[in-house]
Amino acid sequence: MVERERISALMDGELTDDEFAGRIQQLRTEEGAEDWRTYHLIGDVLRGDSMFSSGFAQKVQAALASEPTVLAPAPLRKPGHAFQRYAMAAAASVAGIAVVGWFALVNHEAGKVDVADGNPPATVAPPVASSRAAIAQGDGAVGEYLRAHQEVSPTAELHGLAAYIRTVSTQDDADGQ
Amino acid sequence: MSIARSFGLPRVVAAVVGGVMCGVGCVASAQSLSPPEAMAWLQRIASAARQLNYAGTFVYQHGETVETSRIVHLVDGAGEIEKLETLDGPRREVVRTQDIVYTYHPDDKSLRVERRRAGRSFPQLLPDQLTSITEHYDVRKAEVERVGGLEAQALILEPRDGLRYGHKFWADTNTGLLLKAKMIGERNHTMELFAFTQLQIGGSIPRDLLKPSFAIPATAPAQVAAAEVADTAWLIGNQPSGFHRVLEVRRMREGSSSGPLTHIVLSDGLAAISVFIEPVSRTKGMPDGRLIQQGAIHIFTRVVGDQRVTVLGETPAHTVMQIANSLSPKSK
Repeated sequence: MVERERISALMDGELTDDEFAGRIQQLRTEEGAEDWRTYHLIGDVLRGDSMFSSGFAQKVQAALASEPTVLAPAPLRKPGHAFQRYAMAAAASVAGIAVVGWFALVNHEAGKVDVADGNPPATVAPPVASSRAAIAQGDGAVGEYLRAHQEVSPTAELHGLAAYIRTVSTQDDADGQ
Repeated sequence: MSIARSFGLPRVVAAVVGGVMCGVGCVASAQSLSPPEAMAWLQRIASAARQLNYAGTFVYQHGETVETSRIVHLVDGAGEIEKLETLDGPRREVVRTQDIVYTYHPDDKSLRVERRRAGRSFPQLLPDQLTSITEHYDVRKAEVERVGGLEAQALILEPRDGLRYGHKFWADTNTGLLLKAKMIGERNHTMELFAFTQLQIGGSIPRDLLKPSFAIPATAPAQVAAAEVADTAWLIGNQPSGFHRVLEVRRMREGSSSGPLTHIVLSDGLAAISVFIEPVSRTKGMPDGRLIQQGAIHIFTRVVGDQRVTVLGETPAHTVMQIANSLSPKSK
């Protein structure tokens, strides 16, 4: 873990000259290079860059490998950046949760649709990316239909406003697009 | 006796069990109510929801999900104003006044403004509706139980066929306010459950609790124009027995200038089914021939010619699908 934090510090230009040389050595190992890629990927996600994909880092690595490497360390900053580093590590964990959460949501949404129709399962579960968009749009209309329905249902009338929980329940997360 | 027991058993057995229980001096066994008695209870529940001041927390359970929300309802000279906010999961807020419903999502600051239809189905029950309910449900008075710290009278509405769900209602014995409600499907499966866990009825309820966390727009957008009653020229070839058309309107679609949407409502007096029809071109992205379930509500959508038909209601899936699959435009 300590080694990894130093790679993170290297990215942030926070190492002394001696430490810097040591880290560059570390980057030459397979594990070190993997950490380097991972930290950059996390940085990209945090900045909202959407270019990342599984092969993206490797492609960039391949392109860089064919060029001479120029290493120009940033000027040494004042000590006391440890907090920033921990914050970065914490933010990276949050990013991990956010990504996992997003996929879980997508699966949940896709699963919600196929209760009991006559279609074969293959058509029920379209690719995740497009189904999210499609269902998000569909839910917008469905949400509106549900709200209109609340106003005409005698059962809903017995519940008063509480029946509206159906229209805003967690199932229509994608509602509103 | 619990609805779980009475639902699965032939009515004769249920009656015998009830009789035995009363034989030993019990007062709480389920007793069938005459239509006027049944209706008096339902009317009392519906009136209480609209006429009382109350504030409380309730849970809503559907499938594996349990959600907690807070509700505040106040009535003053200007009419009713009420607020619902979710306490777990994504934040949601609904504020309803006499004629407008605001739905606010604080996380992305989106606000929807929709006009309410005038003339609600309850509590001004029509004699037809009363006949319809008692024709399709066996309404019985059950035990008195404690719910959310209050004493509640339980009522059972058992459907007489498989086209609709059963209900169990627990109403506050003093005010009639609905404290707990369960919708029951096949094999006694609970489709959804509402239950107050904490509730204050009457007394001083601070008006501040109603304060929305968003700014109420000064004027409602023009798109929420009132729906007009119309003959929509659509036929339901195989209408589920007991469901009758109670409303047929053309309404403007929210945030769209691309023309009206047809809305037909069918009801058996208690459950309602809405049919929405609009051009396919305006409903991009809606899944075809799919059944969606949202709590006790089933939603089925299909394309008929160049129109998309979406049928939804708090009924079993086959009731909704029967309507969707037999809808056709009246031939000219």
